[in-house]
Amino acid sequence: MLRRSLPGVIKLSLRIERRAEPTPRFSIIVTLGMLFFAFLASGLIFQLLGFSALHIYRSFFTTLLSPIMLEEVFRKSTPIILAAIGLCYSYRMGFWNIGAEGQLYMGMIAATGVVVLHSAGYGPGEQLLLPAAVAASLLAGGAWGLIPVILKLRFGANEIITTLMLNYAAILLADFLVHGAWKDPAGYGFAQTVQFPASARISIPGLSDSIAYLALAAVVTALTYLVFKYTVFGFESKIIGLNLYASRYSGLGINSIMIRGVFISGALAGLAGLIVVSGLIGRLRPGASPGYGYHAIIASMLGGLYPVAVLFSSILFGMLLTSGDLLQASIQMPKSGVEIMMAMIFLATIVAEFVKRYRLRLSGSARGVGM
Amino acid sequence: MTVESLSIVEAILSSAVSAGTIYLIASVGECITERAGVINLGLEGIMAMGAITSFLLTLAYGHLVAIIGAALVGAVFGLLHALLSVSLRLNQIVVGLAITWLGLGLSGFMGAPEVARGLLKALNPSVPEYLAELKQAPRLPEMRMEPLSDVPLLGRTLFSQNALVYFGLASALVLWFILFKTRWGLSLRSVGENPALADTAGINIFAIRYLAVIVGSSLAGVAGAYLFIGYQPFWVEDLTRSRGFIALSLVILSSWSPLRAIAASFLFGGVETLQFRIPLRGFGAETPQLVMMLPYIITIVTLILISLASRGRIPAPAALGKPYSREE
Amino acid sequence: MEPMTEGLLQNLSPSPSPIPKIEMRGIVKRFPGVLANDNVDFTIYVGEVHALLGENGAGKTTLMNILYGIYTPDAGVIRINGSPVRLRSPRDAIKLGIGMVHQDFRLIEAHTVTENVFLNFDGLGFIPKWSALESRLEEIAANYGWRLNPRARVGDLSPGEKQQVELLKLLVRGADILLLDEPTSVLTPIETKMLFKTMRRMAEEGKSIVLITHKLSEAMSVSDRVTVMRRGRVVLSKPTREATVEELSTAMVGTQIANSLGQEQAGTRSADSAPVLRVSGLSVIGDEGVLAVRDVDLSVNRGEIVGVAGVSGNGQIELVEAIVGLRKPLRGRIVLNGVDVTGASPRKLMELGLTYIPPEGKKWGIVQELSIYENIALRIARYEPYSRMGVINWRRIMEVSEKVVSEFKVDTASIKARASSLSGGNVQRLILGRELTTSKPSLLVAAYPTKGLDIAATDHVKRILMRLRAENVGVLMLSEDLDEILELSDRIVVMYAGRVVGVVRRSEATPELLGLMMSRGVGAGASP
Repeated sequence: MLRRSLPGVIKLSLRIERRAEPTPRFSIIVTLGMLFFAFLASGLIFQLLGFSALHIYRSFFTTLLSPIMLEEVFRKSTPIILAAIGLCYSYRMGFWNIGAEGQLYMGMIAATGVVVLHSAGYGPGEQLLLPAAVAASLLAGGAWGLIPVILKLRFGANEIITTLMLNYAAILLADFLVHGAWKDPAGYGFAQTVQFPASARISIPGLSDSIAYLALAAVVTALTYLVFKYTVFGFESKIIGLNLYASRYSGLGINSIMIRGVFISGALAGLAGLIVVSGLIGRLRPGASPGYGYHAIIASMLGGLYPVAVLFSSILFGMLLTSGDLLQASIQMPKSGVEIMMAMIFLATIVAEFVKRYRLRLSGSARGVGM
Repeated sequence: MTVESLSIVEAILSSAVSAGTIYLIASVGECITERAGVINLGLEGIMAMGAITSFLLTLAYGHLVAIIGAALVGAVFGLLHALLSVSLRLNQIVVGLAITWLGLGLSGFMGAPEVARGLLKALNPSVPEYLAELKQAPRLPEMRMEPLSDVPLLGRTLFSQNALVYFGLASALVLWFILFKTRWGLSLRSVGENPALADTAGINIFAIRYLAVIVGSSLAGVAGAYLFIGYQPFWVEDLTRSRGFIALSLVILSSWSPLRAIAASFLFGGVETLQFRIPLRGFGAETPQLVMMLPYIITIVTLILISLASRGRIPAPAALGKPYSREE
Repeated sequence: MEPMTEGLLQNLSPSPSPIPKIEMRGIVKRFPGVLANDNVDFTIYVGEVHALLGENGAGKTTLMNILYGIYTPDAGVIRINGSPVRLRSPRDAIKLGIGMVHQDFRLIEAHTVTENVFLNFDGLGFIPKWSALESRLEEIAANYGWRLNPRARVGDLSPGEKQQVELLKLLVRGADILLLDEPTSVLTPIETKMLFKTMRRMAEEGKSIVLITHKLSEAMSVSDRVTVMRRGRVVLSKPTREATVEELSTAMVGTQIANSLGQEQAGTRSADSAPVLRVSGLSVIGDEGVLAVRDVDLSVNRGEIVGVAGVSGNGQIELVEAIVGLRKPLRGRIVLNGVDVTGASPRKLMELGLTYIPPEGKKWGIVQELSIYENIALRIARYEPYSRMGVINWRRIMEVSEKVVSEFKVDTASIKARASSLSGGNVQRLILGRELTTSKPSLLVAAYPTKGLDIAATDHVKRILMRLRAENVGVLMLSEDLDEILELSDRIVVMYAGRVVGVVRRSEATPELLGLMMSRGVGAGASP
């Protein structure tokens, strides 16, 4: 509580009061309102650092206006959507998985591994190449997620720290491979792997690539919506996040639900990795992900862990990344400008949670009366 | 021991102390914050802000202003943390992550040559702008503590370092004393253990938590300044490389004691320097990435060992991470 | 504040006629629906141990909370040393020399004794002289014959020693009126003896001590004066040596024991019915890492209610948690319907016919953020026909929920309402309804099922328990309310210090006998 006492008789105090349960409408209005504030605040920061806020806002909305831009938005959104939807599985159980980035990298590494094997004459044939890459990315991302959840259940190791450490390990592993064993011999010395052959690229006949990726992400979103709403697993994972004792008392298999949930979480991040290497870039190289796994954290929270809302908040982040590219080209705004906007959105999301649950009330009372 | 192997040991020890000081300053501050019941996951971002601040201010006004500036920037971020987590009682984990984000984004932005140039010009127009583009600043000078610095082994390790190393050691000692020997320290620890009880005993929970978060954050800012001007005076994006989070796990390793944080930090400083020494011996000379994983993997292993050693009863402050409100 | 100097006190104590230290006159305190204190007069004299005796809910704690400044009375006057005072907060009370030791210790386990005692102590200085403070505590401890190390971590101390720390907190702040709320409830017989010795010694020094208790034997053995409260009123107050046990127990319980519900059913079951639950040699470690349940044998038959009586903190909750699978037993066997279920998971036990009603239903039994029907799904969603191949049939769950709400009279506008909107009584109805509608238990374990409920809800819960008995279900029930235990149980198991100290048939049980067993563990031969 913030208190300020004035000399004399009157005591002013700023009280925090709990609101009644917010309606969905109210929640959405508050979230949008706070988003607006976030834009305003980051505009102010940019203006202070010497960039025109108006220009930045304009470029943000330009991304929606041309089909080419829109395709770019979708391309950049897809990995964020997949990873963010995955994170919903972790967060609703109260598992603070900050490791989507590492899980995504493991997905990229595994999918690339399948292709590298193939191009060396081993492993799956042409028809099975894409399914094998998909399976590998799902498994690798999921397995990378299993490490922190098992460490948490067995040793109580803080998952925020372990997942973050594993991010660096995965990124370094990718670097190690592309600089060493997996380096394309015909790549003029660049640190990158061979190009994915057409049979290892995702495409849907009749659709442009970006729409195909988005469609895949939308399907995953819809499935997740159904899992959360209609399956025992989805329901029970929510209970674990809300009240661990009641979960135990009601006979929920907590460990098994946690392990399954985090595995799915990692697997979807791994799938996001597949989209990056097999779709967006077509090969693995250092810095293949500009931080999709981190953007996904904010996107999932901004969407309040509701799959459909997360889809839209991820597209918003796709727009931010795309406009970031535009601004870099047009007014030489550094790339991390986008990160500032995301941080402001993150802060706004948090404060929105407060505004939904509490209200501030300034009250004056005579001294000595009341507590 | 031959003179030669002695000097190798000396070199290893002194670089362990030099690298460990990054962790020391940050984790000593975090010990204070967590002892009051607040976990600050914003450490990483605040360190990054401290680093960029020290970069620009060193060029503009020199080292002393840079260090003070980094501490002030840290304090501002701490104030933001406390406002959200203590007054508004928002989830400390999420608040910390958001602050880390803001710090990383803002520091990356400020360090970009186009922006850094403008900032430097605004700070001190007489400094040539191209300095910002070189991404370098003069390193803190070594301060030899004659005649102690001539003592074999320890002399180079402990008494021929820069001022911030001494500052880190001194702050560990002073804060340990305050925490465990003074009335303030007792009140602060009580707030972290049982805020409701402390409240009925007449202790101002909110003031103590604000102070603890702000002190811890300023130290994180100074740790960032040390990272740059004291350790690696060349600016790159993601300069901190998760060191803030490693410092958080070192707080657990040192069981929330600033004194034990000295040992834990220097140990990790040793691990950090290993990644530069192993490649010298041949392994990983071409592709050092596997060796660079060491600090991260050892952090995880450390967490497991702590759990095994304490048999699941880690002596964390009982109210750590829990917002306090009188009504509930 | 200055600690009392001994010389002054020694002059006071041998005075021939008692000097009133505190006078409470005409105290009235109302809570919604309850008159907790009804025109109460209460006087404490200098240098006496005064027992404030009464059943749970008689109003004694309310009266003492008023004296300690936690509640303000609706009417009445309080005088200390003859002059009227207003007590607005515990801090006011402490300034006037009143100190209270609560039933639950208010200590910081991670800190040392000295740190606990001198937390935010006035006049400590920025750098306190810890060694001087420690020797001061050692001195006080020696005065009362305590073996207490001021440098020990409080978490490592026994309950008796923790209580000494609480007393030290009051003594260093110069308290000369000490209110002890059920101080023996967590103590072993030896520790209790030690405490009584301390209380006598304090009285000799001229301090006034109020012992709040529901144990007759304690009042008889340690006090100079006894006041009995029942239903918010003082029914008796006289020097202890002039009082008899019979007189006091009648005053406490009243002449008639409420027995409207249970008489005809109790004790009518056939003795040869098969046990649904058999516990043998069970030992369980509690949260503090020490044995909370020691070598307990226990059985529950079909169609029988077994009540577990005992002062809280004597291992009852740990016993129940071990039976329902929430706590791993250290030793011993638990057999449910002939199957060894020692260490089985709650889920397995549920599937074998055990149902558990947890204490504090609002906190542990439901998830507040969920709707009512989701709270019902919590328990059943994984079973057919409520789900098939992992897909939930919400319609089915809603149907059951409607049934639960209507049959168990859960007062709510809709099954879609949030559980957090329900009152305590309605939460308990919801939990019972969920458990009993969605499963056919052969054993119901209920921990404090009526605690905190109003009269109507309590009555409802009792009727459900009796209906279950009629349906041949075995019931194991924990309760802090002796009347309730006597009213419902066919057999009563009394626990003391983690052991079962006796099993009494309903027909043989009296409140006096149970009270004696609960407070002194007579069955175990551990009486002080």
